[in-house]
Amino acid sequence: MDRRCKGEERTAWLFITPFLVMFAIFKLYPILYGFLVSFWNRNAASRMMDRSFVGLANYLKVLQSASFWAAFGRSLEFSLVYTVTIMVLGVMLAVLLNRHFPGRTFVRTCWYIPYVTNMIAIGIVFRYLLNPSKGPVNALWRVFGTSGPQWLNDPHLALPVSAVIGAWVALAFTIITILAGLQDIPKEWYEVADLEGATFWQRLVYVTLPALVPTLFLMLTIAIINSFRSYTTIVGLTNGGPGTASMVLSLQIYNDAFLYQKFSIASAEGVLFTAFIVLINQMVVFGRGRWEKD
Amino acid sequence: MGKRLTKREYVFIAVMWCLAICSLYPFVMMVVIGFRPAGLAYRPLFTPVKPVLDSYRQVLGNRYFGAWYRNTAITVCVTIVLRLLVTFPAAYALSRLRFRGRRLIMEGLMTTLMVLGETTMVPRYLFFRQMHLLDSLWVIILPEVSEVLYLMVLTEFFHQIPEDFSEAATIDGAWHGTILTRIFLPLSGPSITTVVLFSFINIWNNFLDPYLFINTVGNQLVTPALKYFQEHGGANIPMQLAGATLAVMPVVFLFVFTQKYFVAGVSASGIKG
Amino acid sequence: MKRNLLIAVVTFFATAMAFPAGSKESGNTQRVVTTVCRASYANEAWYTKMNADFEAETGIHVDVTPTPGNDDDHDAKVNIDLLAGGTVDVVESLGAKNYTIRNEGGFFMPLSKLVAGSGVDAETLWGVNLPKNAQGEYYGIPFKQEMWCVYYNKDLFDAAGVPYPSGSWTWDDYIATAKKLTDATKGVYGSFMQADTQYMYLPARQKNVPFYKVDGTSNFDDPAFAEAITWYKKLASVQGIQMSVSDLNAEGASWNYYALAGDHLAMFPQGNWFVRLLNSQKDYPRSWKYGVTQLPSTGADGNNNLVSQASVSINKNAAHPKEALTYMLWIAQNQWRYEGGIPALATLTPEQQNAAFSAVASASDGQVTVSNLYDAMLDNGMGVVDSDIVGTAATEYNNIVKEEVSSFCMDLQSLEDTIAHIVSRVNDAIKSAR
Repeated sequence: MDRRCKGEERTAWLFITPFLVMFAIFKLYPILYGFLVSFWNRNAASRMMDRSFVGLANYLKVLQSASFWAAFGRSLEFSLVYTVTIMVLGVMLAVLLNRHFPGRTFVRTCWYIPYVTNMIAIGIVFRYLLNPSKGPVNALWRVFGTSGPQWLNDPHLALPVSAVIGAWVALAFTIITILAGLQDIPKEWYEVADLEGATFWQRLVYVTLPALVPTLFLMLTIAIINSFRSYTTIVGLTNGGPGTASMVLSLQIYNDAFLYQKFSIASAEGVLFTAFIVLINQMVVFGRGRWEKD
Repeated sequence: MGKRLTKREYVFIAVMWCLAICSLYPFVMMVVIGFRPAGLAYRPLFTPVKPVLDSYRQVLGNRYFGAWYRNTAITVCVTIVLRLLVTFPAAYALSRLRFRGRRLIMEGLMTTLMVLGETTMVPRYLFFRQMHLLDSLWVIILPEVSEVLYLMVLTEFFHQIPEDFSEAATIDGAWHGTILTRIFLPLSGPSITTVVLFSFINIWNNFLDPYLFINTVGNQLVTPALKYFQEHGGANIPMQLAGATLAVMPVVFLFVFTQKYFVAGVSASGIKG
Repeated sequence: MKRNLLIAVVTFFATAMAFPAGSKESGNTQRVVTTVCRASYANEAWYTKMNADFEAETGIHVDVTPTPGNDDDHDAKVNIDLLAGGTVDVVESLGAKNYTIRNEGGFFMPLSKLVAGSGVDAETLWGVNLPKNAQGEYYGIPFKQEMWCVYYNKDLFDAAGVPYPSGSWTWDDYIATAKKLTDATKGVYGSFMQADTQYMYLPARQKNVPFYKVDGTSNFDDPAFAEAITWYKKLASVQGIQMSVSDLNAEGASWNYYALAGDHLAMFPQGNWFVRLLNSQKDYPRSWKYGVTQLPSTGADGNNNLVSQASVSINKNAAHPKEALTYMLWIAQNQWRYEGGIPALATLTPEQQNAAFSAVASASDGQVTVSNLYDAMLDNGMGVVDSDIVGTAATEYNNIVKEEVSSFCMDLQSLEDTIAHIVSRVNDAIKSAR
């Protein structure tokens, strides 16, 4: 038994080492390196290989910079709209698509397809569709003689609209997972509800949703993490938006690093951003723990 | 099944079909408008316009077009092969073998899922620059090989393979490597297909990494190259849409034919909690 | 089934690996020089002809890599490539701002010795235009100068019965003329200026108000700038002679917009480089005729034209330094002939001036004459100022102004707030850059 255990351990390490080595070099090291760079002074092209330690100077500069907080606020707004949209739409569509009806597979496919298309293509199409003066979407308003909303060119709408489009693209994952969760709900529960004369809404609220809570919490975690992945969505749709209306933090990091060559500042922003995401994640986990205690 | 549908059910079906059309609408427009001449891009959908191939000709005639597709195809294939080679044994070790540090490694790897690529733009750029990896396909391939998500997917799949399958072999004194290749590999058809499918989708559609790390137009992948058409198109909408269609078509075709595996992959990856 | 799949994948993999080997077929020993250019250049006839003539003359083949994206993207990408230690040979920097940024990054080779060694007399040819530093060393040679002027749509003027603008005039004259041409019902605008920083501070720049105070901080709180950006905003909102910033964004109006949509835009102030788009029926087919006149001034205190120099440099990490030197010197002396620009030589003989303009005039098929161009660009009685912001954190300064003034033009913030934001953000940027 002892020999087998040790042999097992050796084999395990043999099997897992290639992965761990690749991971350590190409994924782990950059994260730690980013942390290091944020403590150096690489804020100009001429100082690219600088290694002088400046302590928390970069962090202080970032935390005192109004544009950082503005960008951070925009990332939060994007995340909020994205998360709410994807959870609400995801649950609604999953519940609707759970019923049998002719053409169900076709309808499901239609809602899954955006997930496999790339965000730049979606950006091109939606910029065309949402053109305020000529695009098809505003044709409805043009029929009545008024000019429709400016969509991606309106400083107040650009960010929420981008978040909704981003959520629509990522729906497939949510719908499929919730559908799988719905399959697990025992039929008897619904039969009991029907016996007691429950309406559609009552079934939803008292049977379906409570049973889905574990799945929903997990989807929430994933949705929140993905909601901060806004760089490609914004670049595809508005490229920072009218003025700075949709300049989210990822875009700010890119500009600081590659337009202005302030690498250490951009690293510090990245570290702060990651710390925040980890914090939010912990809060969700904590919230789930409290919920399950009830 | 010949029961008559109630009025309510007709309404429901109609609503669902409308929803489907809504979701499909952008793609329909993408394909249809790509066939229009440049000046008529904004006419209503059902205007009788003679379809022309100008935009497609312009896109396909771009001298780098073949290069982009080739680069992306190579990147995808090499990544998938290397990824499977490296992740498969690791997943087996994490799900089946007992060793010290297993929990630690699992939890550590899962924590890194929260570190987004967008926040580590700078260190990755500086690091790959030092390694002289920039501007080649390896800068995309090598980091993707050890992507944690796929390790999780495969580990979940392996968890679901019953113990008795490997029990018999272990009793006979077989080495784990043999168990892996003789027993798990044949059983892993669906999970491998899922990994292949997701890898294809994610690498094909990845914008940020190739955009940051590959600078020469000729070495670029398909999705960042689409941005090239945004600039060069400018006011030429059909050309941009034609480019978008050509970039999106391969993945959509693949998806439509393998939707079953896609769904199975997502729902069976243990995400149910 | 799976075994077949595996075999198929491996075969594909193997054949695919063969491709990269195939594409690098430089088995011949031809001399090569590499350069990057904007995506737009790569498709324009003059650029290919220029490189073909160079090859015919020297036997060196020019390998051009276009960068995707618009101008800002191009500049950013070139900087990223140089930062990454790219081995591109020759780099062109349009505008003093880009040159300064790249030079401060230490990307370029010092040129005084190299040029002297090749037998070219830089002092006589380019003289004060050479960007010399305090030690007399320079890292780039100017190959063209860009002067601003106003392009106008002759057909729209004819239709409105307005005489063509010519001679010196002020912005008030410009606005009055534009009003006569604007017809909102037909979607015709008298003026077109993109949402670009140069338009936003144009009058202040003409008055030569500096961007930086003596102590190096931002001078944007100078009242001249507040006046300038209000003036820019009012062109759309009050005078009604041009599209608002929101409309411009919706149109996706980029650098070549006037050549594509000028049929309903009467006047367009821009640099003389734009003439190559208006002369190319092949790249930008149009039905309307264009004319050229000089840039309006703000009055006696702002009688300056905007000028910007473009320089060509050699990358420190160039893969082919010898060929790079040849190409660079050739570009510095000859590029202007092909693009139809004005060379940045220290003194222009009348023959050279004539040569510069007659090529453009003949390419325009009579839409403009040599004297039109000469009067508009050189003989206009105006002084010259640089069009760009040059100094510490110039790129950021530029972007901050663009962002904040765009917000101001879209009524998102007041004038006081805009100026305050610009000054504080730019000062932050200057502090971090030191």
